[in-house]
Amino acid sequence: MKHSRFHGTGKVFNFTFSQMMKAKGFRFTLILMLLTSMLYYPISQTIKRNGEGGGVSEVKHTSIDTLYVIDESGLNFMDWFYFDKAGLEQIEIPKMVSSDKTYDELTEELKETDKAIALLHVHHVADEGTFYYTLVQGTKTPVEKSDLTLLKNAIQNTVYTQLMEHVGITEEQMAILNMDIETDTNYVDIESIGKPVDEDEDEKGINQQQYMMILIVIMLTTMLVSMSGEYISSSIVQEKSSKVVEYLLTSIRPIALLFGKIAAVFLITLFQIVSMIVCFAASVVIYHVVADGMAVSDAFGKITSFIPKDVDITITPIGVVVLVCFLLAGMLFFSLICGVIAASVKSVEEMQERMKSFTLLLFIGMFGAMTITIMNIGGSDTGKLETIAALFPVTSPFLVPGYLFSNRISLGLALIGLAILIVFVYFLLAFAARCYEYLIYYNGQKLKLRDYFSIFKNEKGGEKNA
Amino acid sequence: MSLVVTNLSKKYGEKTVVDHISFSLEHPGVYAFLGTNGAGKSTSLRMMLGMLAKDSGEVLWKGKPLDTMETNVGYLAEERGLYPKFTLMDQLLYFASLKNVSKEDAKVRIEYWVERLELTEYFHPPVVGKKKPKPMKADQLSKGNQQKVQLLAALISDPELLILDEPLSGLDPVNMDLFKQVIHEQVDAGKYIIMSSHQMEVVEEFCEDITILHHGKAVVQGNLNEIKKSYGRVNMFVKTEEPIDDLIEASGLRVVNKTPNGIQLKVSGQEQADRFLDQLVSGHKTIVRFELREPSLHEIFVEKAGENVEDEAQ
Repeated sequence: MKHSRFHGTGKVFNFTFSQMMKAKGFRFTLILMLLTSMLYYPISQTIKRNGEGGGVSEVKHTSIDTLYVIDESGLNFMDWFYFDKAGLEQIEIPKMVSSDKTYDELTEELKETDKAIALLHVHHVADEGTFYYTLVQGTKTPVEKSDLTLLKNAIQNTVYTQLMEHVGITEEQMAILNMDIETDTNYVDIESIGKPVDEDEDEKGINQQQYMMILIVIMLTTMLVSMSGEYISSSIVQEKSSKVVEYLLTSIRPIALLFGKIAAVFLITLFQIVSMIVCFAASVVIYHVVADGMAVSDAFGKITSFIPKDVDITITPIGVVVLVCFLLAGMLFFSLICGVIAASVKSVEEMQERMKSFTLLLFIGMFGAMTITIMNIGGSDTGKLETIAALFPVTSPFLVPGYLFSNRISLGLALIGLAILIVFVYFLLAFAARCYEYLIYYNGQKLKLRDYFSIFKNEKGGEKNA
Repeated sequence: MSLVVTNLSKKYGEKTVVDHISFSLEHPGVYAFLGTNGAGKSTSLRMMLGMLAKDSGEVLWKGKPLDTMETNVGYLAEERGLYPKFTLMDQLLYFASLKNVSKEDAKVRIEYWVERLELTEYFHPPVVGKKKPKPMKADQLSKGNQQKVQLLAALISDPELLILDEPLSGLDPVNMDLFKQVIHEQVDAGKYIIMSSHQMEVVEEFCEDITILHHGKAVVQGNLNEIKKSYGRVNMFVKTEEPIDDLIEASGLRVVNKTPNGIQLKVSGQEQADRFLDQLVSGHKTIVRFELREPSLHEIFVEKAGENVEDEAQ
């Protein structure tokens, strides 16, 4: 029975996958990464809350003994002794005194006093449509500025809560009322549905939220590519330096050997990244359930807050397929480069030296995509640069997924970029496999650029006996 | 004929490392590939296995081009290799799966060879105390035991054709005997074996047919007994109680070697040996040893390789 060139790929995949999962180093790294993902959110939130005025149950003491209130707002429903009722127990409320004295009289008094006294003056400026809540203190008073800030936040919250109670609306309704209303113009032909009309200069750039989204995708792609590249190269060099490859090549063709490894490494890298994301999401839910006493369903809602609200995620199912294909092809492209590099070296030490060229390509790809994105946020017209980067196989795996996800690039251009990337991957695959066939000959020798050309043209070996 | 190799050649740049080598294996047994270091033995074997491209030539197995993916071939490489950090059982099961041996069959075969090659304590470490012992990894074995595991890997698919590149190098006498027994068993089981070696005594013990390579060329090739016969009985060993240097000089014989066990002399044939024996008897020399025999493989090898070295020096 004639076997295909890929015969044995599954066996290589199974073995590589199981051995990598069994490796102590891998397990240790995975646990470390998962722990980091799990602990990052709770720790950062705790630090943040402490910095903002302590934990939920901690009462912040202020240096204010007495707070005079002069209310000239005309808001009769406002209860200035409401602080406790509004659940603002995070700060120790000073003694509230509703004063009959005028504003001027009280300010004169404050000028002279060295007691911990402050004045809250509430008034309404009809022309501006604004209520002013002004805190006043004397220069000799021991009241600290930070205490006034705390008090100011507390007043703002209580006013907001009492206003909503008074008009009888919920927080959700308030959020709807506060929503921005924007108008836009869309093309009406089928190909351009959803694409905004380029009415002004601002629409050429990207907003902060899109920038963050694209940056996250670039970072994830970089992680995927660098981790898989490192695994592939170390796996190949290990087989080469331990001479196992000579035995393997009697049972399996080089291309199947490479393909099996790459598939296993891709799955493992993906598993690591997905595990990290899941752990992070779980930590967010657990944190809010435990620390804030939220219902689990509400805590799940907190996860969506990490997706920027202003990002235009209108990606179609085809777009999703293209995006995934791009990530796969990009990883394959860089993994094969690592495969070629690893096939041409003898030892791990030599590989570290040779991997500089991979690192350089990785940097070109990543920083190329990032530079264009940064230029975009500055409002520059990067249309041509975007097109070049989307078609160039070194930059396209970093740029296209993020841009496609945030609807910054057309599906047609992404498909052309993908086609080019696949063609490169195909040739690289053939080249990497041929390198493998020659690795015994080159064992222990550094390959020069012309050697690679010779291998590619098959000048030195003649026809393979198969 | 089962294996036919015709005009196998390989050049690295301008240097010819294998120069039109041809041979065949007509029936099961061991075919020896001999040669000095760098003679082209391993390159020839790699080309036969298809893992190294050849410049010209043909390798046929049962009338079809040999493809190791299609034919059950076992290979013990010169540069030994195992995954150092993977357990022995895991990697052997992997090697077996690549050779299309089912997991169940592979386990049975591994257990058989583990016992046969005296590797049980490494595959099934004894329990010490209550703790279950961890499976051993390749880098925990000695070089000799790693070599046994690799022989196991070569035999795991029960191959029809076995290619052993320097299988006995670096082994202690006990393990060398074990390897020899295994090779004998394989021959008895009707396997075709190609073996390269530097150990001439071992080759003489196993092989009927040989090729001696020197700088990529086959300098001697054919049936070992016939090769020896073709040289004739030209090696004479003499040991006497009295000195015989003057007699040797008078007879015009060439001294090949002089040791406490006697003197090795080169004669042109039986007649010259008989004449020298007459001289010893008539000279009243006390003869302790007088032997006339064909050259050993070692002598043929040294002579052929030596001649070529001398030729090149000239």
